[in-house]
Amino acid sequence: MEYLSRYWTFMAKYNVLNAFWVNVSLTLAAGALALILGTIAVTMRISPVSSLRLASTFYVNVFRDIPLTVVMVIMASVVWMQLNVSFSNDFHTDFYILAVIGLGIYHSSFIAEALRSGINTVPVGQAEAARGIGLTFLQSTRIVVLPQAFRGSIAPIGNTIIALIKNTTVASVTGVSTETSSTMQAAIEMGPQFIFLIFLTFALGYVIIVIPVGVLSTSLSRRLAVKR
Amino acid sequence: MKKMLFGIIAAAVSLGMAGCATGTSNPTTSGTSAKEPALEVVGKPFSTERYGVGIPKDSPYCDQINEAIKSMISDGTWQAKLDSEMTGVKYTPNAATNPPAQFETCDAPGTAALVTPGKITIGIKFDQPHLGFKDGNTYTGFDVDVATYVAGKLGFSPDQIVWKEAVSAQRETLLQNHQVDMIFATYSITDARKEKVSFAGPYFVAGQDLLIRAGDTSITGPESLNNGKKLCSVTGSTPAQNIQDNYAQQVQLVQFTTYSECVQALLTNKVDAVTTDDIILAGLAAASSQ
Repeated sequence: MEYLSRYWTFMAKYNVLNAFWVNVSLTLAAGALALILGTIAVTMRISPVSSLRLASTFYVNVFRDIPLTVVMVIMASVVWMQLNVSFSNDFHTDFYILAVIGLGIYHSSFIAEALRSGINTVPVGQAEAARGIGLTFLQSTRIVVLPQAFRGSIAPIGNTIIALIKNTTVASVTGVSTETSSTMQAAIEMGPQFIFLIFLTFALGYVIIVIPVGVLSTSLSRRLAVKR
Repeated sequence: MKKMLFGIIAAAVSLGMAGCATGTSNPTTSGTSAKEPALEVVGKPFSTERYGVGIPKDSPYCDQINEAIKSMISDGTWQAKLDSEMTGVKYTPNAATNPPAQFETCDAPGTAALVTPGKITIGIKFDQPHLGFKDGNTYTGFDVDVATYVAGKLGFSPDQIVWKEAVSAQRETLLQNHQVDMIFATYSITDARKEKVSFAGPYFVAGQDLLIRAGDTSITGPESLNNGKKLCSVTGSTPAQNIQDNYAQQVQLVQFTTYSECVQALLTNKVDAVTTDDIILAGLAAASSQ
C-alpha cells in the first residue's frame, strides 16, 4: 500500500491525462484525414479511367508496405530536416501536423482496402441500374455505391481506427514529445522501481479508450448493415 | 498479372525507401577519409552523472570490480583507452572528478551463479559510437574497453565474454532476472535504481553538456540558448528532463527518439545544440569526423 502511495506521488509529476488527450486528438485528426484520402483512393480505384486505377493501386500498395515507423522517420528526417517544410514558427505545431499527415497517409491505404471490400458487397445490379437511369460515374458512386459500401465496411474501418489509436504512440518518432509513449519513457527513466505499475497505468488507459470504440463499431455494423 | 507486377514494383520501391530512411547513422561506412570534426562539445558540464557497473543485488563480484577499476586507473590503461576512443575531438573529461576516486561501498558478496558457466555475460549499449557500439560482429567503445579489462581481472579472456544489448529501460530487469552478470552501459548511479540493483564503481564521472556545430561561438552554456535557439535531446532521457525542470523558460527543447536524429538536425541547422552526457557527445562528435 505504501508502495502504491509512493507511486502516486511520483506519477503526479507527469501529466498523464494530457498525454492521452494528445493521442486522442492525433487519432481524430489522422482518422479524418485517412477517411478522406481513403475514399478518394477507392473512388480512383473503381473509376473507368485506367491511369487513375493504376495510380490508386500504386499508392495503396506503397503505403501498406512501408512500416509506420519508417513513414514517421521520413516525416521528421526528410520532410522537416532536409526539405525544410514548415507550417508555423513553432516546431511543436510542425511536428504535430507532420505526425497527423504521416498517420493519415499510412492508414488511408487500409481504409481504402476496407472500403473496396465494402464495395464488393454491393450487388453489380446497383451500379448497372444507376447507369441505366442516366447517372454519371461520380453521381452513381456518390449516391448509390459508396453509401452502401460504407455501411457494409464499418467493421474493418472500426478495426483500422483501433489500430490508429494505438499507432499514434509512434508520433514520438516525429518529435511529438508530450504524448503517452514519451511520457512513459520519461517516467521509466526517473522511476525504474515502479516499472510494472507504469506499464500497467498506460496499458489500462489504452484499454479504456479502445473498448468503447470496439463495442461501438460492432453495434453500428449490425445496426447499419444493408438488409438485402 | 499487371496487378501482381505493380504490387511487386511498389514493394521494391518501398523497400528502397525504407533502406534509405533507416540507414541514418553508420559512421564507418561513409567512405570519406577522416576530416575535421563538424561538431564540438562546449566544455562546461552542468550536472554530474556517475557511470557505475550495474550488478544484481546478490552478485559476488562487487569488491573485485572496484579493485579492477582502481588498478586500471593506476596503471594508465584508463587514460590511454579514453584518449584513443576520443581521438580528434577537443574533449577533456571533468578533471575535478575524473579519474574517479570515490567508489561505491559493496554489500556482502552474494552467491549468484554466472549466467553461462565459464563465460561472463556483459550488457552494453550497441548504438553509442566510441562508448558502446556494435560494428558488424565486433564491439568497440570506452565502456567495452573497461568491461574487457575488468573481465580480464576476474579471470575471463576476451573470447569468454558474451556481449548483450542493454536498452536503457530494461537494465534493471536484465539484472534482476539474471540475464546478464553486469552492465557497463553509461549506467548512472541513482538512489531510485539502487532499490532494485547494486552498483560497483564508478568508472567514469560524466556531466550534462552541449554539442554544437564546430566554430559556433554564440553558445557557451544553457543560458546562452535564450534567443530563439533550439536544443535537441532524446525523448524522456534524464538530460532532457533536467533541462525541462531547470531551464524550461529560456530553452526550446526538441525531442527525438535517437541521438542520430538529433545529430542530423544539428548538421542541417534545424537545431543549434544537442544535450546529453559529455562523453556520449564526444563519441558523437568523433563519429561525425569519419
